Amino acid sequence: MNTKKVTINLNQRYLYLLIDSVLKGESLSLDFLYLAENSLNYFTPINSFSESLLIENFNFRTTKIIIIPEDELKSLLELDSNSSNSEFIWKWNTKNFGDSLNISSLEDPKSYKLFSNLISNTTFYNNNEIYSVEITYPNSKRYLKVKETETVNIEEESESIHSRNLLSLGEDNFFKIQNVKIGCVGAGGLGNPFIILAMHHGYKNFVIVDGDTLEIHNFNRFLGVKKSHLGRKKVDILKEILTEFSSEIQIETISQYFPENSTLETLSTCDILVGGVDNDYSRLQLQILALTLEKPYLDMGSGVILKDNHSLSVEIEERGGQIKLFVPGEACISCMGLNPVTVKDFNRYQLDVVQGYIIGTELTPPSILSLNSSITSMAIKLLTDYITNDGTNIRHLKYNEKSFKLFTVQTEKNKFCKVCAE
Amino acid sequence: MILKFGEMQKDFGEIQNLNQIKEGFHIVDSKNLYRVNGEGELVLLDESTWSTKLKEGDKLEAISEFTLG
Repeated sequence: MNTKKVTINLNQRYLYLLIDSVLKGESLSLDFLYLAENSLNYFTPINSFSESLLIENFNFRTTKIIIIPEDELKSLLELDSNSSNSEFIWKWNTKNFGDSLNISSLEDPKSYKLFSNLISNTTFYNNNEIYSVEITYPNSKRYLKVKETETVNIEEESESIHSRNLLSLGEDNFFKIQNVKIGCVGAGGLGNPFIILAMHHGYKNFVIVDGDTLEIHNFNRFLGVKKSHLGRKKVDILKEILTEFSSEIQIETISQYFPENSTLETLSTCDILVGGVDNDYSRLQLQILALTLEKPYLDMGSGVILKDNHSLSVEIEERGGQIKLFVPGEACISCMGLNPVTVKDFNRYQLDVVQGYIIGTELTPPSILSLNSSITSMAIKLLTDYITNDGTNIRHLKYNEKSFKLFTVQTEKNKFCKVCAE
Repeated sequence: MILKFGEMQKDFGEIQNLNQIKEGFHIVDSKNLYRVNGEGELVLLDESTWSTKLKEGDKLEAISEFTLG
């Protein structure tokens, strides 16, 4: 027998009960109800009851329903109007949860009546196995909607974790991003915050490619890092962080450098390519791969460019970054400004890395999380807007962190482009 | 053609290429040049298209491609 607990917050008059994997014919036994006034640690039982409800008329995988006796509902609404800080704790036991119990008789006519009324006022959305139910109490003009839940010991927790994202995105869009497989090359200064932010947004299918190990100087910008991570592969650390966040996350890691053959094969299974790389050579190769596979490519770049090539003083010429989204058939990242003629070959790039790769100075360049997290936050927004097709057609953003200016850049396919012109 | 960059304004006469503008405004060669359109968006100026995109009185921006990560 599984025990589950849900915290229902009545501050906004909303009730929400998340039940996973409820199947046709399955029953739920509600054992007791506790009321907690202002504190989760002080429970005052207001009622005890035992109800069995028959899920009879429909078959759904994950749904949100309110199951509550009619008289209790009235008291909840009354209390809701008088007290804005009360919280209810529901605990219930599920008998053979997940099994299909072919219960054909109604054990409690009162509950069934209420449940039937709720269902009769329910809107169903069917979106490739994501089903949701919005319920209004039939005898009240007040809506009861999803507000907040906290679940314990529930394995399929995605909707609980992302309940606030769901409110922002809507279920259709949330479903879309959950089904996108992201292939991210680079797990460092940009790749790491991008993946972590994507995880928090609700993306859950990842391929991550990076051959680097974590060094102490990476700690200032590697989110989720612990001392014990030192010396481990960056992709392995990200895998650990993601799988601890949610068991529903699917992640495949390749601890090799792009574009080695094994990385190409795995990246080709992804829906969208993402570049969190630190050089234009890899950036260009990713663009070519995206053109070949006819898949979108989201490119990020950041940097701090110093004025003096040799000075130890920090006089900043530019500090900022850009995000480019290549969509097949549209402008590529070269059309958007990357000059392929100036891109060094991989051997030259590796030599730069050994020397402490350089932009405008012979010193290892500065790299800070505030800049990279700004770039990756905007990249996630750009990507999500594209996936959810929200009507915006922004493909290129330039951010000047020095002046806090963000520019949208118009894009058009360049018929003379050395990378994508036919 | 009169162009603006930052606090500077300059009459370039007949413009031959983008480097002429960069040199005129002391912009390092590695930066890309953009015109700022009426909506505040940037429009990339490159060698093959700048002559048709650039307008009299345009305000310009010069921004590098940021290559690190």
